[in-house]
Amino acid sequence: MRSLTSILLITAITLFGCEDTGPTTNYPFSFTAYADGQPLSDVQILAAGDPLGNTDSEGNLLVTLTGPEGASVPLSVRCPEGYRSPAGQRPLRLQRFTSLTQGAAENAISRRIDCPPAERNAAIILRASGMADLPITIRGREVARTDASGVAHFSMRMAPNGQIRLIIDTASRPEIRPQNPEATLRMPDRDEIFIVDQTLEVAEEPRRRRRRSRPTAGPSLPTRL
Amino acid sequence: MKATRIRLLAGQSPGREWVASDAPAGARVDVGSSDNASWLVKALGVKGLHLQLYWDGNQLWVADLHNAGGVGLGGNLIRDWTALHDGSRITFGGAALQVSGPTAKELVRASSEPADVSRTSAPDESALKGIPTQVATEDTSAPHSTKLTSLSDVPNSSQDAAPTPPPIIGAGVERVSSPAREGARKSGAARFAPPPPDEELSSASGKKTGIPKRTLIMGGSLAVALLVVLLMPGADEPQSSNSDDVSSAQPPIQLEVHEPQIRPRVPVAVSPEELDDGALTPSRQAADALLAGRTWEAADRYAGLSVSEPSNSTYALVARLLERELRNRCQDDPDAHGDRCVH
Repeated sequence: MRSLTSILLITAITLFGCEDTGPTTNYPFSFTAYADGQPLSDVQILAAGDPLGNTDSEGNLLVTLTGPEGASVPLSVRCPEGYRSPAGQRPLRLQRFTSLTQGAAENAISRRIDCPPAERNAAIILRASGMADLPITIRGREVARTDASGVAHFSMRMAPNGQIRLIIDTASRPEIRPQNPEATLRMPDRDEIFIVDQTLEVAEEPRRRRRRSRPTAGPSLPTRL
Repeated sequence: MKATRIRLLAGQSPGREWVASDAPAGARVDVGSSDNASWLVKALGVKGLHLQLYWDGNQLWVADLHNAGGVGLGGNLIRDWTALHDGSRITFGGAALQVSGPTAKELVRASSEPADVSRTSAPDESALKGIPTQVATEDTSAPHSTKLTSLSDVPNSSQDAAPTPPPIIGAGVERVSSPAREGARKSGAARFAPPPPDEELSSASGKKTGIPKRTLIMGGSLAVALLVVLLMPGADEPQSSNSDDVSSAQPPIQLEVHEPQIRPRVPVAVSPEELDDGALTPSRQAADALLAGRTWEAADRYAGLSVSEPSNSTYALVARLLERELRNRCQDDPDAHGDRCVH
């Protein structure tokens, strides 16, 4: 069945190609790869599974495909490590065209390729009501501490749509309320600043009340003096 | 009695501990990262002269006199003189100090001993000049005030204490230390190492001979008070009739007088509004600007932080993201942001 399909496909392409000027023609294509809007090098472009080349430092790759006019060529992209390869690329169609721009340097069809980063940067700013030296933990690991002014700045990389739960560890400060407050952050598909403004209060120590009762329990000598 | 000492928990220093109770009353220690500091402590964010410690002979104090980089005590920023207690933790920059000293119980017990009566009495006026004492503060009508106050802020008490602080003596401890310790002053490690046992003894005896007058006055006062009680009609309680009970009658008197000194300080949460800009770290000021929606100001502050503290890459990241945000705002509505969008 597969071989029959292939034969029919080849026959159709051949017949379709024979309709025009010749069996094969050169078709220039220009690819430009970006990561978050910045040109990205080393992006591999493949046509029908065969590599055509990699983008240069400016994110560009210029190739010339040969084939019958109107043929459809499957396109795939492999982004470098640390970037996500886009799936479902539209196939290339081999078509001749004339540029409307006189003297255009390249009469090539341009195709934009986007390779978004595999991880995103999260900058976390935490303000803890002026409480200094409180550890911030994620999965039980200390990632930062509030400074003398009670703020902490730290950053981390996360997969898009990833989720983290950070905890302000108040174990060393039992008088603080609430104890061990948490915040859950969900990472969007872009670098992001997260601001956590946690209100903390200091509860009065119960010992203070106990001490107050001491003079009344003692002898009345001082009062009499 | 247990010694009052302050220990370095975080930061680098040739000396890890200072036994304050071994120092004479009035000893001061400047803590910081410069060579001028009495106690050299190096850590990220620690300024040259960052904070000052003061030992009044009975109580250890701390103040952010130099207003250099913020001093935290129990999670709150302090500026004026604040009493330290057993377990008090001071944070400044990336460094931290912790006090270990006599517990309240030990102090109460000690105050019942005749030899220690003078130790629990109020410090000299000269030692108190400009130094707000917890006793004085709590003797005012607002003992549970949620704001840290100094004597100069309390009208009645300020008359008792001179308005100007005492001269800051960077190496007060060393100036009055023994020749043996003078020789050891060259190295920071020796500076804060505990003195040898024989020196400890002589130092302790020196303290006792140095304050006999106050002991006598206190003892005399007690004796007079006791005499008055005994002579009062109806004062025929058996406990006032023998010498053993005289000492047992002292604790309540001393408890009433000195209880505030041994009362553990309740940490006070200082709201951001109560702190002026000078007390906030630059990173806090930047965060506050961002939280208040002053994005332009925050962007400038974070850009500055990324230059001044390149070791924390978060500042650069925040500055970059804020710049992106502001660029988008300018694209959306250039007129709404005045001249800032010209750039």
